[in-house]
Amino acid sequence: MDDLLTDFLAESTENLAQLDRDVVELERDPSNASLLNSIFRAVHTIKGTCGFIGLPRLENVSHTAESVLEQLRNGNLKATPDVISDILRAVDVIKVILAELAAHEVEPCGDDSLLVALLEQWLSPGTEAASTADWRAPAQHALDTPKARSAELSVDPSVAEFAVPFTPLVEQAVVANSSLRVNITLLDSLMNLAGELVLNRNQLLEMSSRDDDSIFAVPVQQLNRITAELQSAIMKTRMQPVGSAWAKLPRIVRDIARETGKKIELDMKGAATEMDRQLVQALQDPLTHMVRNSADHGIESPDVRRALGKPAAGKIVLNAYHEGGHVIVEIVDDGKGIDVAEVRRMAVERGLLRKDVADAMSDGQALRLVFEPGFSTVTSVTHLSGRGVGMDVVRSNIESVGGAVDLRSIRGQGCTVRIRLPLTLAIVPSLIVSARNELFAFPQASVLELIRLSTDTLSRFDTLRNVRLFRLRNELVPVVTLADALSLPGQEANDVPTLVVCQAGTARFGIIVDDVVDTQEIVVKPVGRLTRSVRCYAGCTILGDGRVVMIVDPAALAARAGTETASAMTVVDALPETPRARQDSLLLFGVGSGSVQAVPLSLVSRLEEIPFERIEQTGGTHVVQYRGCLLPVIPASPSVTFTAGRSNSVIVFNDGSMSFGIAVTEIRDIVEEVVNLELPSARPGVLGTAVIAGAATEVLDVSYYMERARGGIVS
Amino acid sequence: MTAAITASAELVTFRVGDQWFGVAVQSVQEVIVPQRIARVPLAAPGIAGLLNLRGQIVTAIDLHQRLEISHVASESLMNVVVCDGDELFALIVDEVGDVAAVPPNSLEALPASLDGAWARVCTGVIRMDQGLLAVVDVTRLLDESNTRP
Repeated sequence: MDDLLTDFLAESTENLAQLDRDVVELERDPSNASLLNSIFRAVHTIKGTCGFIGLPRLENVSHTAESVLEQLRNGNLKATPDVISDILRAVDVIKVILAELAAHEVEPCGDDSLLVALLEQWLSPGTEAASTADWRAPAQHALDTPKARSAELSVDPSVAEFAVPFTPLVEQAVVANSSLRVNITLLDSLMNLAGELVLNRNQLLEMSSRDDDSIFAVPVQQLNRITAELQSAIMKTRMQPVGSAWAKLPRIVRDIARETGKKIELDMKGAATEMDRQLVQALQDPLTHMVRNSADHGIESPDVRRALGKPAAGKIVLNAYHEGGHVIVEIVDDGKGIDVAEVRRMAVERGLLRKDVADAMSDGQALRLVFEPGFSTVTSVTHLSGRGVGMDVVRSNIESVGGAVDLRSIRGQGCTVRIRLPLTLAIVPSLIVSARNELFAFPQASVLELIRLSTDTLSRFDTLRNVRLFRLRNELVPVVTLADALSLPGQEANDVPTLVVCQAGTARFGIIVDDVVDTQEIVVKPVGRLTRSVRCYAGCTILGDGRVVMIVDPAALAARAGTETASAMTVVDALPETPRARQDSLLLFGVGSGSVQAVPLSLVSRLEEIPFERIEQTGGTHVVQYRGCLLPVIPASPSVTFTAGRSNSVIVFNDGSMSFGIAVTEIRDIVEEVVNLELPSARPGVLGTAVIAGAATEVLDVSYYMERARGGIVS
Repeated sequence: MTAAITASAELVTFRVGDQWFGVAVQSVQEVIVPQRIARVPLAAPGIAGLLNLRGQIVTAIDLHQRLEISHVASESLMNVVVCDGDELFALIVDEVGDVAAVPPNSLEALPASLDGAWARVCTGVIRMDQGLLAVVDVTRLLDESNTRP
């Protein structure tokens, strides 16, 4: 059912129960003004809302009832039992209509002209005298004998039931109250309790796992399941549509459009996308700021737009949707876009970085400079927006709740801001690391990769004016040691430490830890007020064994250690415009003589084992009869051969129009990895080489084989 | 606190070093045995770390450091868990004594020459049979601006 309707029904049902009591009470105490006011308000609310969601019949009845109540309130009419009865009749009709609405989601058809006529007669002047007999008699008569009435007033017979008070139908027609208003703090405390239950469950699980034949094993398993279900159910109660964060935006855009003389259309899609209440709140301010930016600075005036051949009205589109456990919110405008050269110039002018560094940056990187603190592209400060505090605040707000924000812009065509937020804040996948025998948690969202620092990687460290740098592929990454940054006492525990490469905003940096102990889904708890002033932590958590572990906020830690300024030295991107930290699922396969190749799993349509006997040869090409078609099969390397009595692994690709297979020696694995192509390949069929699963791996060029397969078919 | 002492009051007493202190019994939730404490690197001095009390995060305060009393290695450290502003704190002390019933008007002013941390967190002293009992105001003890020397 439509949310609006559900809310309306729940609210009206609440109101109606009260209304019944109040109207009866009014009969006994006709001069009670506050009672009258409350009745009036209740009916008025119903009338107002149903006009809004298009329920004409209900509106008509409640409107007339409201008018009579108005007369009572003004003192033009006395609350005689007759008046009260008619109002109660109206209330009953309202109930019946609501019951029908609840059952079928549509207003029942019917004619209320009799009831309306009844009520309206109280509105004509001098009703007091008239009400007693003459016109009243036939109407009363009609109500007593429905048949007669339908004859006299020619009313739809079904209305007879509706208009007669207290019929059995009305008795059962109470709208089921299926929703309940709950205080937000109660929900929060439920959430906390569930969190604590999870911790307790973890402790029990750990205890029972130590003893295989514990009598507690089965009940603990059940507790485990129930706890998980309880937690997800409570989590759902806190979900809110993202639309509630942008309810204010149409007004803001309209005001800006008026003040600046622009024409702006605001299009909001996916308002029903749900996420945690806390995140909806966290999103509100950044979103408002960015829409304001788009309206104020992005969209050009109608004249300029027309001159550019664009439609006079600019467009801002908000789009929210779920994607892989995250909520994506995009703000797209078709305004003038961002001038990358101007961004570079400003960044240098504000001393954010050196000119040669700015010039060496790719456009995508340069654009992201607008997220740096103290940056603003607006040369004039208007009272609408742009006071130099802008995108950096947006970024830090969004990152503080574990989200990420990115920006794309094509000059003259507009700008797209993409915000990615987790579904919930309560549970965070994290990496448990150790430093000087103490454990710390890192939120996995900010971790890009882990590198074991054996002695042969030592040559990849450099020092520049007290800043330690690590050569990560072709990028220089500033590095701090966790133990040093936190001033931990004691000696390094591990001579093969691990480098945790993190990303916060535009900055990449490494944090050296002694060891990576575990990955865990942790429940974030706030730290006490006395430790809150230490900015390095995002909270703390309780592990399965009951111990408390601090959650490190990598960005704050790096800022403290002073690496953020150093990050401006990150000169060259690994690949221009490679989406950062995009993990791809990769299929790894052998191509003979020990070499391994990879192909993105998203391109693969099927994996098949095809016995030698099914493989036929036509004009130098191997083909297989596959699902009623001929499937060309191309060996991935000369070492892949077709041998009698054996079968071959074949990766089947389909580009929509045709299928083809690539024969390989074996399917190895599927891994999640960020692909950075390092060495472009001169060899046909290979895009280049990347480090995948810790080994140099060639990445297959599917398009090359596709061409070959087509060629084979044609010839 | 001062007002509470003018009427008859009950104080939970504990020892830090050689000195006995008292806190209002209303602010004390419980007394617990030593717990595993997770240190919070970079936190203000006097903050021992965080501990887990039945799933709740409790900030542990090292009263030796907080009250500038030299630390003698002691085997029998105890935690007095107090509640202040909806938050729990564990005061790490050497020994927990009795709950002392204090007669009305027995609170005497601190000596004017008393300085440092004691002057900031104590409201007065009470003469007891065993010696002077310094009365600690929990809110002042846990006030962040008072945690930095």
